[in-house]
Amino acid sequence: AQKIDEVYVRVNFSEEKLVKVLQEVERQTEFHFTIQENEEYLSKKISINQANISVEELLKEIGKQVGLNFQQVNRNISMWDPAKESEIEDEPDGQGAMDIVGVIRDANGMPVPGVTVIVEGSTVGTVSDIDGKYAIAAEPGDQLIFSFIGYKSQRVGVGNQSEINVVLLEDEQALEEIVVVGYGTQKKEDVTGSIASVNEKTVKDLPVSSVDQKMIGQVAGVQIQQVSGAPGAGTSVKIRGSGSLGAGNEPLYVVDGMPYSAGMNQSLNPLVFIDPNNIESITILKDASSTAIYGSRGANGVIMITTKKGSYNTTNITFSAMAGVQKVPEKGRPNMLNQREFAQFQRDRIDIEVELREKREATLEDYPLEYRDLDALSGDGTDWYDLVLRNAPIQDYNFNLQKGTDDTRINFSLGYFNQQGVVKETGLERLSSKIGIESNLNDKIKLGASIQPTFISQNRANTNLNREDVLGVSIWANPISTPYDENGNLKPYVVAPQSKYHSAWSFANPLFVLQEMTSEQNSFQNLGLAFVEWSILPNLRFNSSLNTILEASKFFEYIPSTIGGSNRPPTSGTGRSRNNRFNSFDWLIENTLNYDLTKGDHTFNAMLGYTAQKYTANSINLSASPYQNDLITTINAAQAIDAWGEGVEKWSMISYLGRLNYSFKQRYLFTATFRSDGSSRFGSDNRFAMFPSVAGAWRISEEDFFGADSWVDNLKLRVSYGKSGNNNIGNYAHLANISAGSYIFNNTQVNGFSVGLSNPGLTWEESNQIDVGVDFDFLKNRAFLVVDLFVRKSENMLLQDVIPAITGFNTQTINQGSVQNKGIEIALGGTPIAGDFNWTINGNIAFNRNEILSLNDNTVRILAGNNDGNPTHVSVVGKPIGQFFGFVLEGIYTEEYLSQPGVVNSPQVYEGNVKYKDVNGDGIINDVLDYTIIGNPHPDFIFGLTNNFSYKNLDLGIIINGQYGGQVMNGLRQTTDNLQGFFNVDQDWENRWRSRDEPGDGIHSGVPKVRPSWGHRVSTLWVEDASYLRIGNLTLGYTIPESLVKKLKVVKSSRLYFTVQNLAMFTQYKGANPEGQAANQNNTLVPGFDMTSYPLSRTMSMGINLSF
Amino acid sequence: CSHDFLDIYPETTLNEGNFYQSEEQFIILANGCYIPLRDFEKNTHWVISELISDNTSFQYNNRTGEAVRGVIDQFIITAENRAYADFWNLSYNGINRCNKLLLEIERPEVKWSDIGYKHRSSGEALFLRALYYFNLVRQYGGVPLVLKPISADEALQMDRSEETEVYNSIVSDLNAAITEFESASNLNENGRANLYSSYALLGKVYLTLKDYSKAEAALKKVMDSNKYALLANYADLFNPGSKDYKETIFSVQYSEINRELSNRFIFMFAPWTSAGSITMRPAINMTSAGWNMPTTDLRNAFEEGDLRKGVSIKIWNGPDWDGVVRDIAYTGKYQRPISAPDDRTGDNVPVLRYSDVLLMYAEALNEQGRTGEALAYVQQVRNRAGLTAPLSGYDQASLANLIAKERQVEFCFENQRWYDLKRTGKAVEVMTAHGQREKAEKDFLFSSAYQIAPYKLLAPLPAEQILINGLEQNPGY
Repeated sequence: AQKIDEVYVRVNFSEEKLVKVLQEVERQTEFHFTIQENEEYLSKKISINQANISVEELLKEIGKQVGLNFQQVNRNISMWDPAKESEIEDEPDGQGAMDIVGVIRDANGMPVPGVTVIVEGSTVGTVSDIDGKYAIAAEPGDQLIFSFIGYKSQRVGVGNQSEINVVLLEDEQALEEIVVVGYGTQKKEDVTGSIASVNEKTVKDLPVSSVDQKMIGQVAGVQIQQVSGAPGAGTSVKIRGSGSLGAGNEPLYVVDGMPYSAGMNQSLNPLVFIDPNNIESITILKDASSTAIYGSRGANGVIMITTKKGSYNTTNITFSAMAGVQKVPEKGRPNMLNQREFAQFQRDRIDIEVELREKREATLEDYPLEYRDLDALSGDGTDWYDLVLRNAPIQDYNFNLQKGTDDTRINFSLGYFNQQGVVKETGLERLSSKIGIESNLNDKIKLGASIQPTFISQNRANTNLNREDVLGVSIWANPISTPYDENGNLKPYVVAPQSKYHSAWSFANPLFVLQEMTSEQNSFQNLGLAFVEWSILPNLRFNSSLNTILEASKFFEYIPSTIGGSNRPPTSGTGRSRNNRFNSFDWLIENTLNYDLTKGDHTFNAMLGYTAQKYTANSINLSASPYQNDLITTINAAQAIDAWGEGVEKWSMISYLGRLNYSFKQRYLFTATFRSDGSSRFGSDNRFAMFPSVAGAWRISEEDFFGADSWVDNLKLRVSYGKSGNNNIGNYAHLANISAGSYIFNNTQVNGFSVGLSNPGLTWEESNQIDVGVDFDFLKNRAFLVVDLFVRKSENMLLQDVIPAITGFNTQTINQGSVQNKGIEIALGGTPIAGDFNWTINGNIAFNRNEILSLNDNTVRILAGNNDGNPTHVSVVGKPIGQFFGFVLEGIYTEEYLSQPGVVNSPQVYEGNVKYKDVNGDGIINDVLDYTIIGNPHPDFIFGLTNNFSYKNLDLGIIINGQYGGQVMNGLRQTTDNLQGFFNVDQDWENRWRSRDEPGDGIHSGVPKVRPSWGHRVSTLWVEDASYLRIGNLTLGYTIPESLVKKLKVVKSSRLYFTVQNLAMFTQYKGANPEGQAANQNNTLVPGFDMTSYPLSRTMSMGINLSF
Repeated sequence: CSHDFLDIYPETTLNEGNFYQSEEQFIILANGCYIPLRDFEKNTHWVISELISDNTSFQYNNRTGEAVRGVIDQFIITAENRAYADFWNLSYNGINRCNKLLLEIERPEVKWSDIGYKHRSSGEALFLRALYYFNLVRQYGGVPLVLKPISADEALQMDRSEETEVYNSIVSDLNAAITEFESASNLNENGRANLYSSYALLGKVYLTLKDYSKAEAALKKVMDSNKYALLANYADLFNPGSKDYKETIFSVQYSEINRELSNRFIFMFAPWTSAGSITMRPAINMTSAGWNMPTTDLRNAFEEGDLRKGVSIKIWNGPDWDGVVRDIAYTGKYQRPISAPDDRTGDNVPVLRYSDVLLMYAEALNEQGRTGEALAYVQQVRNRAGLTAPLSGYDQASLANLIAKERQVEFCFENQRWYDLKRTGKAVEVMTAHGQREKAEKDFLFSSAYQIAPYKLLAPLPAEQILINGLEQNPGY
């Protein structure tokens, strides 16, 4: 926020009314004066002529001329007539009083002039002078209160001191007092909905590429999961749980007014396009009364991002640099059999095969040479996972220039970000810029425009997919083989030790794959904004804006012929390429009209708007193969283009919206909003959707029965109800499409079409939410508590309903079913210690209970996921979305069990084999039919805790976040718990059943004797506790004292810091990331499915922020 | 505001709104009815009708895990096997396409330049619907009989129909198709279903139903048409460069032109160890090939001097799965690509051939006790195969055996064997003997391989459809 001493204005008044002067200051700055109408001082005359005067000086001058006091809280400046407010006696009564003197400084040691010093409970008061000095008469039992705008008040007992020096601390609470809401801003005290802001200061120096990663743990009820650690990878963001089954759960992002419907893109996070260094504020709209203004896009919550604009009459140049190194922590790396254990395992497997085929015991000669001498196999062998990882550098530079004259301000920034991946050959580079200009043409008209071009280049590797991706292979690859040949060259293809009875899988060397395969994405995006603001009357404003997003991207993948696959040696002349070209243009026109009116105790604010938006995207994709050689990789070198396609996606929307705020005595607040969205995505029968909301708030603390001396500073009760929607139903889903195809008769190719299912009634998902909340500030604003209870019921779920195949189709898109999320969010924080040593703490915790209330009438369950063709997840009524689904592992078949009468005789029932529970009790163990719910991916609660300590110029911040409860399924266990002998397996399998005498731990079955084997089905074994606590960030900063800075002359302020991101993670989960999510599995219906996750790295970096 | 702004239609596909207008559109819809047939013949049908039988097996691959197909060859048949689900889904997808066409084609607003096209398109839909159901009923027994487009709710109300009801519907569809095709006789195109494919299929249905006199009558229509004849050279039937429509009455059509229209049979059926030496496409990965390879049983079924053997079964000398160089037999009926640089091949899959009509006709006569009359038709088929010695001394039973053997070798790799075994009641007996021999020959088979049981003659309904559709499973699964 701006400070009154940093913002300059140009004034030239002679005998002008005060109200005019204030209006002129409002016009030139972002400050807003709280003017009580009909106050007589407003008509007092002012004369002042200054070409360049800070607002502070100006206000002091005004104070002199008309005898007013001013107080700034963020952008708001209030004023009062001290003569009227309290008649401070100039003369102390003198009895027993002694003179107290002292100096008042700020946290940087600079003297603070103008601080009001009052003896509590009396009318005695004074103001500090230009050197921060003051003198006041007080008695030993008195308390002195020091207060100044923008700083926290302090109370000091006099005792027997005669000199009291005070350090005033900035009031961060006050800096948050204006919040960005949909289509406007609001004073926090007037907010009726559930809105949270991210404290920019706390997360400023986090070494991450996008703003969502900075928000982790900062806001109650916002679950941000880092599903992949790849540079630029997307996160999963859920506000208040999963409210949709088929239309996505990601919130709507609004960047400088432009709805930025990101959706989840695991490969490339759409938010990476916004340089976090350019962001000024982030607000999260959670309840329906605040999101309903975004209508059919608001159901999953809204994240409002505002970028920096600069200020008038001041020049501010900042430069920041950060550089660090990332490393994958030891915890979470796979723990597989070492080479000796692996060889023994392979020998066990061959023993069985020899016995089975040749009815004899295996001899040493039956084993491949590599397995024969176990004693020679010491050490772990090749750690492939370790080999594909590296310590990778990260760096971020940002230059920001803000320059303002009295009627124009410009803002320019340039950023460069480079993050190499901890998996070799991956990385992200970003070049971002912004240029913006705003100018007041005259008293009434303000124009502005900005562009934010960003270029991103990303090198990818296949991860989070399946066991064939580089991380998958590097986990299961056998430890006996080596990546390099005798000459030290990388082997393209690694042949596992071969035996005619059984061989482990051979594989493409993951190191070679990373080195030789090309997979790169280049994207350009520009956010454009132009607006005009017309103040028709002082309290009637018209705003018209045009927002655009232009995006163009190119993806190129080339797999050279030297890259083989599992058991597939490379074959020359098999190179193949994939090309995707994409461009899109999204424009939005918004027209809003704002009207303010204050009449006595009544304050009204009304807003009406009309918006139109249209999105057009065009994509072309081409797959070409084979390439005769790998020398030229452009399409023209390919022998054929074997697949191609063009996609055109369009949608358009017309909206009418409005909001009315009303407050009575600043005590009783009422807000009503509506939005009507007409969308091309909805069938013509119900093309317009209406989304209303109402909310009320009662500021109890403003009531008379709260004494002025109460320890309660602010107590507000909020209640809201609203309806919002989710329109992510696909652009043309309501139309029955005719699917094209072709057939051939003799040699004549003909079109052959078929008619799909139509969904004439297909429409948006609807979400109704009730929110009850309390905002509570107490102990002189030292502590706060925000509690919200909500019930969010989402209906008209967009379901990919699985329907009987005899209809000719396997799935159908319908609007049916409902999901409920209800929960409690608590944010609690404060400043337990203030003074030279300062400690602030902010904690939040959110409990959410998700439950499917109904599905399609006919569908008892939705099966989803895929393991060997079988589902891994089920969604059923009465349970949360996406429960884990599989066998219940009962252990292994024992001799004792098998000797019981009536044991099922099936080939899979034999001693030492895996024993799954016969859930349906039919005596046979069947896939799917004997599956049951074996776990829940949804946490009981999520939490975040942020601590900031400062002592003099040193500051220390610690961010902790985590979740409790909830489980995760490691999908790679299909491979790493697969004892068929093709892959290396988890170390746990050392405890496998080996014989009647060596039964192992009773959980891990023996090497299978019967094929097809059972041992790698989804079971309870795969489900692990996903609770975790992460020290997400630790930052230690040092601000160079101003005294020193002043000597440097050029620099205004300077801060050095050291930061560790992802310092430590405490979890029971054995895999790389308890929040990992397979990229090819639906995040909503198949949640918590971790598959070869790109690991999260620990980043240690140093940075410097300079301001000139 | 202008609502045109909100009217956005997909630009890359058509939609139903104004579709059913012209003759051309219905011809395109009729073409679409063939597509599911093509898709399941390509990947699935041979697994559950040829690989499952005693005719073919697979080349062991010690490097890959278990596969959907290997278990079926070894007669390990479960409701979870994707082959049965894919076959079910595609069959009903095809049926729905036929149903939709038969419903919408009656719209009065459709303009027909030649009403014959309406009859031909209807006839094709009826024929194909009958063929889809005929395959379904032979695999699964009684299945839900869906004869018009239905909603999910309606589908849930449906149960499996009795086998006889399904057959009644097939017969009635084929009779209706015959009527339609009779009014479209001037619109024949090679590759499309027509009047005689309808008669031939009807004959086969009646033969399956053991209604021999009706089978005889239907097949006689094909013979009397004089439109079809045996090719002189058996190998000419399997030349994708010059496709046969003289002996082949109905076949599923493929082409190398593009991926959608092509199959990749030889890339699945050649030994996986042969790499590019059979396909001449070394760039194409063969790791998962080696399917549908002739068994010793099939190779022994050929008589000495049978010219068909050299056409149907080819030998490649090279390393087997264990590295030992052997003569490895593989199918000769599917060829490598003619011009496609990759794995696109264009061999048609015959469904009804004239030799089939002759052998079915002979069987119908023989089963009616007219063994002597039947001999001539068997002889015709044998003559072409170079087995010209006159047939004599056959009684009804021994001729039935001869016809069965002729069918086995004449139609190997043409997805007839399993249905023939079931139809003639020999399946359990033949498969038991086959299983024993296979187990003796191959030590790598699953221990649960070849557990022959009568219940396995009916395929399991896909497990997922039992769950979703609430259908009753066949006994035993």
